[in-house]
Amino acid sequence: MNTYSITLTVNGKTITRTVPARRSLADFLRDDVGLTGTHLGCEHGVCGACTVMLDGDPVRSCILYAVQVDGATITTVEGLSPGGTTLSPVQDAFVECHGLQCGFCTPGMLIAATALLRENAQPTAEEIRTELGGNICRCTGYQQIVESVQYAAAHTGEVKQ
Amino acid sequence: MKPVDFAYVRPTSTAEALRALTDFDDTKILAGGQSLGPLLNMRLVRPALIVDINAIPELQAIDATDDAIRIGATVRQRTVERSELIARRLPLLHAAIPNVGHSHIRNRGTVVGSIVHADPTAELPLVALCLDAVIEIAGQNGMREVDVADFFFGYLTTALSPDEIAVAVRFPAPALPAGVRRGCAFREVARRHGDFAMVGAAAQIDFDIARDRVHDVRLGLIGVGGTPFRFHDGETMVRAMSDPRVTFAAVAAAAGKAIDPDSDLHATAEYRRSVATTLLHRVLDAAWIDAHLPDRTA
Amino acid sequence: MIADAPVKAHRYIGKKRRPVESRRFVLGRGRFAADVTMPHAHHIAIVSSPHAHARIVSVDVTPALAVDGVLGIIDGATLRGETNPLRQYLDVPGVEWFPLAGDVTRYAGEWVVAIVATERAIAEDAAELVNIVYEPLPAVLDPEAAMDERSPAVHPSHPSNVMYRRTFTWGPVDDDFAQSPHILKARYRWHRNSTVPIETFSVIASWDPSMALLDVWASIQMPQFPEQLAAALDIPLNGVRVHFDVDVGGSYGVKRGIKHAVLAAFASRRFCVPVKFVEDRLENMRGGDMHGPDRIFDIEMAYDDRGVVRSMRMRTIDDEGAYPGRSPLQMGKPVGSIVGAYRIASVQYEAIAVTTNKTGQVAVRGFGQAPTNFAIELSMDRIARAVGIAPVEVRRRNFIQAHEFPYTIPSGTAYDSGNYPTVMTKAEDVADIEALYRWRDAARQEGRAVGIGIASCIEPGGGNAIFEALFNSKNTTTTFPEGCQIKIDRTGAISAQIGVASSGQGHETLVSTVLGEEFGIPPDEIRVIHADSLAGLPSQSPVASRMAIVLGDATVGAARRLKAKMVQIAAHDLGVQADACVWNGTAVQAPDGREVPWAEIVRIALMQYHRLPPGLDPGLQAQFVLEVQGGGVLPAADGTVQMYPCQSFSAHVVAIEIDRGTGQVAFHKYVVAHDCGTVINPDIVRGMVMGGIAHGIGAALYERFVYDESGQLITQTFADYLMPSTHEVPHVEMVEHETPSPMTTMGQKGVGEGGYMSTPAAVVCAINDALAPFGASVSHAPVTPVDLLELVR
Repeated sequence: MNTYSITLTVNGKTITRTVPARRSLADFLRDDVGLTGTHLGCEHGVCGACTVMLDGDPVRSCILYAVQVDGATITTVEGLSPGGTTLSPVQDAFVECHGLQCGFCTPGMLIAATALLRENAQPTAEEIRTELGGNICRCTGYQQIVESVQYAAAHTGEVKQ
Repeated sequence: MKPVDFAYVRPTSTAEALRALTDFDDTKILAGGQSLGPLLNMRLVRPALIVDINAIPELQAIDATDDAIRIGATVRQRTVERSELIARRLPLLHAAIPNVGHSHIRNRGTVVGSIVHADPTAELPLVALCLDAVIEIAGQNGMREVDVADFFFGYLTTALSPDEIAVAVRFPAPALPAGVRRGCAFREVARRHGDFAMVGAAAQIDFDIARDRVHDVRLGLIGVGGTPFRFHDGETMVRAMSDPRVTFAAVAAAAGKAIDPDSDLHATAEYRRSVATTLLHRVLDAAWIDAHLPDRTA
Repeated sequence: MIADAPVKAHRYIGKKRRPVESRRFVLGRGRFAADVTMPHAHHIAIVSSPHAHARIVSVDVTPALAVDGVLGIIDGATLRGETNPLRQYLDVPGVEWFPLAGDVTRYAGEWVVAIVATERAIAEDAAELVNIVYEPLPAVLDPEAAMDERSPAVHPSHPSNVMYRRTFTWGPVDDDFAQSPHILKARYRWHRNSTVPIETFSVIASWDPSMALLDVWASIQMPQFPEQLAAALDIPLNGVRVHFDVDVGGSYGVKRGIKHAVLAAFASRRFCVPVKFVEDRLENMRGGDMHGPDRIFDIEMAYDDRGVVRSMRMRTIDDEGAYPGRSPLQMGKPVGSIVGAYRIASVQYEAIAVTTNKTGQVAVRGFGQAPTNFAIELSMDRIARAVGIAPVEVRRRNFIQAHEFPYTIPSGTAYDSGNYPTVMTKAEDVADIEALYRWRDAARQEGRAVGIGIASCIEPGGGNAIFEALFNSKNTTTTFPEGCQIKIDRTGAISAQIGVASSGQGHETLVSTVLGEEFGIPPDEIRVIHADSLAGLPSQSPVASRMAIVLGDATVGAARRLKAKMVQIAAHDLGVQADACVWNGTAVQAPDGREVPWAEIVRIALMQYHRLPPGLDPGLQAQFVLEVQGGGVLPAADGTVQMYPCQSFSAHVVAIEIDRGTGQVAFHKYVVAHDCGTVINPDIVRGMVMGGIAHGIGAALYERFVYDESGQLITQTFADYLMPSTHEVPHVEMVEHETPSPMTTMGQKGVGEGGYMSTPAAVVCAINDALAPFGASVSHAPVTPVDLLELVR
């Protein structure tokens, strides 16, 4: 088994682990770091459930290997919430507008939505659909997700419990 | 779906990467990983060693001269998508890139990687072919260059050897002569937005306003065979044209006769032939309009 | 339980409320089965058959056993020798189904060997080293061919590949046909698709020999899951504890996973470690047995010059795949709404279940209603075209009218309530259908291929699974229960417990909202937890759009029992008769105005035994187990039966354009009018409708499990099995109507399956409207650009 030592920052915390080269970033986060908020739906880079932020950009963690991100900064859904218990504006918006049902695609959606709003504070519905077009949801039919992002855009800056 | 066990190195120079490629019989280069990752996870590729080239500084840049734009092997598609330089000097590439997968894929995927992967329905190999790009290759015995026209052999198969690294793709990008306007268009039909194309078409028309004639034209199709298709005969027809409406229809019809598409799960050969004709017509029309828009400059 | 119409304005029911489940999901703290970890847990990977049909000549696991990290390997012979077959719902002696193949594999992808190792990756390494020698056998892939006696037998021990065949005749069908001036004949093909959740089936099983107890956490949505586990493993049912406090990442019917769970449990018992099986996507698509209905319909409708349908003959052939299981019953449930929303007077219905060498089917959202509605609605459109009236008009002429409810359809089910014409009008109004017709006609002048589709569909709800008995007279089960238990603690806080796992339907929100309404307490102060199968009350699981109906009423029932006890306690304390007191929202009040407030009643009940009425047990807790409303009666000999108690309804108006150069379909407008009776949580209802519509768009235009001529599934990944993204699902405008059900305490009906049951019909009807000027039509789903281009070029 080929194993390697990696050091990276996950949700603001620097960690060091030894991993096999073949361990995906998703499995690393879930199994080695214990952050199970990132989910696996396909393991071939299509569904988007595994989306995390790598150095600020949303990426599919199922087709990245942990050894690749040695030295990088990762943000998962758990890292979106200030302090881990209060809701970010995007998280709060999804709850308010019912942008989720089963919750399985939700972490990937939240990462995608957060990244979108960082780049484009007032996206149109079309732009929201384009940026979230790589995240498949089987529950919501997307409409309440679009509304959640619109709500977040309108309410950024408010503090949520 | 977990890969086979593989070793991993992340060299910091091209020379080091080349040496690593000879350490094992079965090695794979990892750049963007958006094509390689699924293959690894499904065990469709089973390398003993992965050589991650993302830490090699000389592969990370876009270099521009007066005549060319050179995109290094690990330059992300998203970087190219956002590049004002590319939008200005390689508008066909700029037009094609939003069709490549999805923005999250483009955050990691590379331009060179997509070209080298050589999926016949991928957008960037077509753009490279239409624009007469050149692949710069580092091998065990030094550098060589291959014109993209000679690069694609067939489905997922190219002139690149397993012990070589494609270090850059270089697009000729000379300034347009005075008075010449460039228009381009890229259209594809996919089953869903962002999927690999069933059929795609690219057109770039450089129109000489003063002389009221076509200065240069590039036409191509994807999804119509095992490799991207550069429609030279169509370009000849366009360069000689008098009435665009008549010519474009004839070019589109000729394209339908010039290709030999396959049938697969998502589209029949007849469908591809018919849609290729339609799309080529559409990109010709769109490129023509684009070239004639006010304020379109070189 | 017959309820009076609601008489007071609701405080919480029908009001916007943030679902309580959402908070944990957005924080990344959902607890899905794959998230559950236990020390020493081992992992399963599967070796599957590459052949559509083959005899297993030999299995050599020796090289695999030698892999470091492999704990053990289970082959079919071992498993089948030590477990009982998985449950069949049809009476099909000789048809055996186990998690692993025995001597014969019956579809490409069938599981043959299970590797148990310290890590999933290692299990996969070892799986590649197992040597299996197969002798391929002839396979049968086409369901009609499979009905021919000369085709290969999927189960030679069964007389044929036809596992079930029955014709039901309700009313004077032949006479009605003879007397009708017109007969429509049509064939429809509903190709195989499924609702494919993003989470694959996941289970972790742990056998504790010291307690002889099997603990299971699984992503489950399945009736009698603990029962079937216990039966397969020969464990007493009270030795199986299924933990329902697992978040399920979407199910829409399919998360049955009984073979996954039996395999994991068997491995755990055998190897004395917890065993986790998280099915990967390839295992799921090829071998998870989670495909949906795969149907051929032959329909005849007898109608008059006005397009009024008098009688219908429907024959449906269902390709079950290799192992029938529960899926053939998806031809049974539609019996309960076999005429759709229409006053068809007599029906002949023939249901045929056929096995082929393909992956098995499972229950899918709607449980057979989606393909059935598809066939009915496309037929109504054909009749409209033949008679020369608009699709809306043919439906109006055939609708069951508002004053006719409860309306008993020929197959014996009484529809509880409805107002189909009004809901249809609402859809038309919101769609501005006159403007849509003008848009369409103007576009057609320009040579564009545009169309408007209408669908009106019944969404039965309640889950009276009496189709089990309908399709198998040896099955005399009529009890389909749901339970709720509530407890008030000594601080006065309410907790409730439900006996199901949820997969996004918001059951915690449902129960706490209902309890809040009953007790006059803010729902957010009420805690709802998921019991396990030992601690929980009987449940038929959250299928069949049933939970608002049955869990809603069970919750009301438990709350009212508790309120009665509280009144009794307070009355005794006040020295008055209990039946003279009322609960006024915060206290129990005597006729003279004296009150005992909530906190005081709680104190008496839990801590002041000396103040309790004699003979009353201490504490404040109550259980209520509800039999599904209208249930409890076996089918009659002719198959007439009261199926589900409540019928929700939706009307869809869809406008599309087909690109004449590419065959692609784009949505111009989508409007749905939806009636599920009293709405408990508007956002949840809207989400269910929207989600169902998205699934329906997938079934109409994108999703299909395709097998090649050698029986290989060629749509194994998400690159080929195409699910709609934000780009493929349009903006949908939704308008609500509420026709309360007389069958439930709050007038609530079910919601959840309706979009998937209706949208494919609406979309394909729109496509056919767009094709009409070209003299073409389609009669299948999904419809692809390849299908359409040649028709509109």
